[in-house]
Amino acid sequence: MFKFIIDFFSRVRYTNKADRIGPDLIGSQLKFYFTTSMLKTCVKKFKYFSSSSEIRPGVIVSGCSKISLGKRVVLRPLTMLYADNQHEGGEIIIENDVMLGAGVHIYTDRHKYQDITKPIIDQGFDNAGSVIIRKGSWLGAKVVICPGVEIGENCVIGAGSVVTKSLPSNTLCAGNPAKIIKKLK
Amino acid sequence: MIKEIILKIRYWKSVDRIGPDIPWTHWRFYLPSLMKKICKEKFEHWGFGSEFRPGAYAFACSKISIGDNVIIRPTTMLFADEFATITIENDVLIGSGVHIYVNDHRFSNPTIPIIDQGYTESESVIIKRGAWIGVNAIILKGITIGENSVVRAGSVVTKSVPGGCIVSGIPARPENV
Repeated sequence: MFKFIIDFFSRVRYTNKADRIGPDLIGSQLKFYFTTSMLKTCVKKFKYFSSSSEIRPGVIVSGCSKISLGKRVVLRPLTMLYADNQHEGGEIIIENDVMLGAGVHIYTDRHKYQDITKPIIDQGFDNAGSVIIRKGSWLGAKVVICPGVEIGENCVIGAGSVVTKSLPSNTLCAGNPAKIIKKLK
Repeated sequence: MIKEIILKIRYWKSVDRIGPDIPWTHWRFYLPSLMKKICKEKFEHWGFGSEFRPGAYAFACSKISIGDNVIIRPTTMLFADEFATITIENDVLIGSGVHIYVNDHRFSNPTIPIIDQGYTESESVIIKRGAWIGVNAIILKGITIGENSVVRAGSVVTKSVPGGCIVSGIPARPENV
C-alpha cells in the first residue's frame, strides 16, 4: 500500500512536468476538465498558447514545447499531435482561427525504413520537418497530416483524408492521398 | 476555483451529451445496469439489448435514437444537433471509431475565415436495419444507408447508399459484386 502511494505521487509529479498531455497522464489530465486550470497548464507546457484556445479532455499531445497554437483553436477529443522534442525535430504551428475536427492526427517525423537488413525499430527517425497550418483552415474529422506538410490559408480538407504533400491556399482537398478537388473563389 | 467546480458539475448534470469528457455520467457506463438506465434517460429511443461502451461520445443525445441489439463501441462519435437527428435501426453493426455528422461548416466565401461563416443546414442521418459500418468509417450529413448494406473500414460516405450494397474508399463508391 505504501509503495502504491509513493508510486502514485511520483507519477503525478512526473506527469505535471512531462512534455506531453493526454488521458494516460493522471497528473495533468484532471486539469483539462476545468477552463482555468486547463489554460494554466497549457500556457506553461506549450511553446505558444493563446488564451482564447482550448484543449478538451481526451486530447493526446507529445512534445508540447515544440507546438504553438494561435487564437480560437479548439482541440477536440481523440486528436493527437506528435512533435519531436528529443531529436532536432520539427515543430507544429497551428495559426489563428484554424478549425480541427475530432480525431485529427499530426506527425512531424517518420521512421527510417530504407535498410532492409535491419528491423525498422532499430533504424531511427527521419527528420522530415515542421508542419504548419496557416490561418482560417478547416480540417475535417480524422484527417492525418504527414511530416513536413504546409497547409495554406483558408484550406478545406475533407474528412478522413491523408495529407502527404503541401497544399496551396484557398483550395478544397480530400482523399487518400489528399488531392486538390477545386479552388475556392 | 470552487465556484468553477460547482458550476462545472451543474453543467455536467444538465448537459445533453455523453462521453469521457463528462465524468458525472461517464463512470456509469462501466456498469451495465446503470448504463441502460442513463441511456434510456438521455437518448430519444433506446432499444432492447443495446450497449453503449465507455469511451464513446454522443452529442445532442435527445436527438439520437438507437434500435435493438446495437453496440456503440469506444471512440465512436455521434454528432447530432437540435435541427437534425441520427437514427440507427435494429440489428445494425457499428465498428469502433465510426464518426457520424449531421452538418458541415460553410466555406463558400474565401474572404472570410471559415470559423466566422457558420454552419450549413443540418440534415438527418438514417442507418437502416441490418447494415454493417466498418471500423473508422465516417458518415457525413444527410446520408441514408440502406438495409443490409456494408460500409467497408475507413470509408468516407458522402452519398446515400441503397439497400444490399457494398461501398468502400474515400469517397465511398459501390463495389461490383
